[in-house]
Amino acid sequence: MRPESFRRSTSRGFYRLLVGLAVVIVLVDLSVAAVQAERFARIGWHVHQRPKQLPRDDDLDPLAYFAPTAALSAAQQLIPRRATYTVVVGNSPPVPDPALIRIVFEMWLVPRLYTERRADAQWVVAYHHPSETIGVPYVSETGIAPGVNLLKVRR
Amino acid sequence: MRVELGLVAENLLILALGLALLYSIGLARLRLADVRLIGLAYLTGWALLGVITSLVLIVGGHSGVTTTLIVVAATTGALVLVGRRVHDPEPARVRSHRHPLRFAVEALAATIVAVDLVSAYVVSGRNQWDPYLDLLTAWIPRAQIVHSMHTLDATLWQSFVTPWYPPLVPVMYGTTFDFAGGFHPSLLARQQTLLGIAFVLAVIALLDRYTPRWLTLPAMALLASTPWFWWRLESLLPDQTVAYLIAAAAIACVSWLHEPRRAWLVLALVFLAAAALTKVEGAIFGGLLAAVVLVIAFLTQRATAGRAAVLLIGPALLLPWHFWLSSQSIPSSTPDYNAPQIVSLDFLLGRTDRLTYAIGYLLRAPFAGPFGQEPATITIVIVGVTVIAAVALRLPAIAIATGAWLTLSLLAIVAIYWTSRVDIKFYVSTSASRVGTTLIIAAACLAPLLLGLALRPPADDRQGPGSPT
Repeated sequence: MRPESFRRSTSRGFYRLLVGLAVVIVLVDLSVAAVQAERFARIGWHVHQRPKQLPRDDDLDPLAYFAPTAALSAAQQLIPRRATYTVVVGNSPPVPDPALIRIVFEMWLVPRLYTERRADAQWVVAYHHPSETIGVPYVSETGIAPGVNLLKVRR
Repeated sequence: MRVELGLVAENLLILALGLALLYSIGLARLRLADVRLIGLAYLTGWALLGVITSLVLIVGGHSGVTTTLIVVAATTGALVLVGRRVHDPEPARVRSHRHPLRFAVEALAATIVAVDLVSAYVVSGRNQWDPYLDLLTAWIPRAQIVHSMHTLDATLWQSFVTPWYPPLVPVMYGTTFDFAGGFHPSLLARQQTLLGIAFVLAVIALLDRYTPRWLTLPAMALLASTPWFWWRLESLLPDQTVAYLIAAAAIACVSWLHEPRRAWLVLALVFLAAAALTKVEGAIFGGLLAAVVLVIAFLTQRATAGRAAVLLIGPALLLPWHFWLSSQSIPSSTPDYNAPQIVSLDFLLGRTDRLTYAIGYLLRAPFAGPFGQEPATITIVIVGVTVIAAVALRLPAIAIATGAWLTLSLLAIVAIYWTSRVDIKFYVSTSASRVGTTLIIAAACLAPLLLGLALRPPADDRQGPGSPT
């Protein structure tokens, strides 16, 4: 066999191998994909049946796991945009993870500035903590959720 | 209604910007047939808007609806002018012989892709957003900062964890809040799913030049049907966004290695820049990609190799961000890394257990562990490795470039775990499945591209009408 025809026949053979590999890959891809797609279609249909909520409710509902959404919403409305605030978490009743409470308030209340020091705060969220023992003087106290009060600090 | 109109307006602006870029590089002709590029236009527009707005904020500018309108108008106008002056010939698409079997494969695959993407969009619109800790402590509050203050307010920015994370995602989330008229994290899942849909359609459009759809569509059907990929379409964590940008950049880079068109370099640059400004991992993966492409280009095509240096600008855009952090006295990297000791051999050798644990975990992960022996993931990995090996004889430079980049990127992830101070098991278990899947997504997109290139007759890389495959 002449070298050129050997190269051509080897090249054709390699090309056929590649085509064969491509066909196998396509068949495997489609088989695996088809099973999952059916599952996702059912999930999509099931979820589609759920009633639609207002964006505001959709925003807050996931945070209900961490803190009362009424408290978050009220704090956002009452604390001025550029004020400093702190969150004091108490034990009446006990809270499983006080850090998560602070995280959620911090996230929701931007651009208000969170501070760890009560003495630097203009507002205090007293979460399951008696307002009387919060440690800073305040001019007003507003109940924003069961067990949650918002205090405006006297300056 | 106002919210919906605002989101529509934002998405149309992103689309217009992306289409203008595609027009300027000769991939679009501003006619009806360009509707097949809608995904690529959206992904490109999103990336470009994110990069420009992030840079505007970094140099002290303001964000907001007005800024977005000005940025889009000015950039779109400039790009259209460039497109009118510079007439790059439009790359021809691969055309296939009509065959009922081929049509059946394409129709079935397209149906699966459509079912996956539509169902994902429906779910994103009705599911509640997932309040992951990283979202509550970093990404969402920073988006709120951008939306409320229209600047990168340094005091607020550093009051949340990981302030060194680049700003692109908070900037784009903040832009969505601007157009929606308020702070609505529940809307972000739908926007993220739209971005994911755009990515899948963009890959199909990018591969059209070299790969017949009977190869591309089944590969995209497999990716879209992979459970973790499908569920993460609506995720607000930016890891999947990084994956979209890096995978799209990789496609553009491999396309450029095969056919050095200006269009591929420009696209790659935009995606690499956006990836770098999204997460540090984006800069690492992107930097490695740019470096590999540069080396391979110098070895195989010296005449045009120098142009590939422009790719390095993408990852380098992280530098302005670092300058901003320094100027605001904000830490520019995580203290979890023992930076002064990283170059110490004793330090590195003393923690080889972390190295071997990380390597073992990452290599096993697609077949066990976090992916639960998922058939789709296993298929993608095996197909990716097989294709790279199979096409090596036909396309040695491209196969080596692809294999080298994926390997180096994997080693980069390993190096992060090796040198970190965080407990290795905790670190790997909470991050590897998010960061590592960038490479799996890239492999899923590159496999059909490599196959398509390998199956093309050598004479078919001319500028004229596509030839049958």
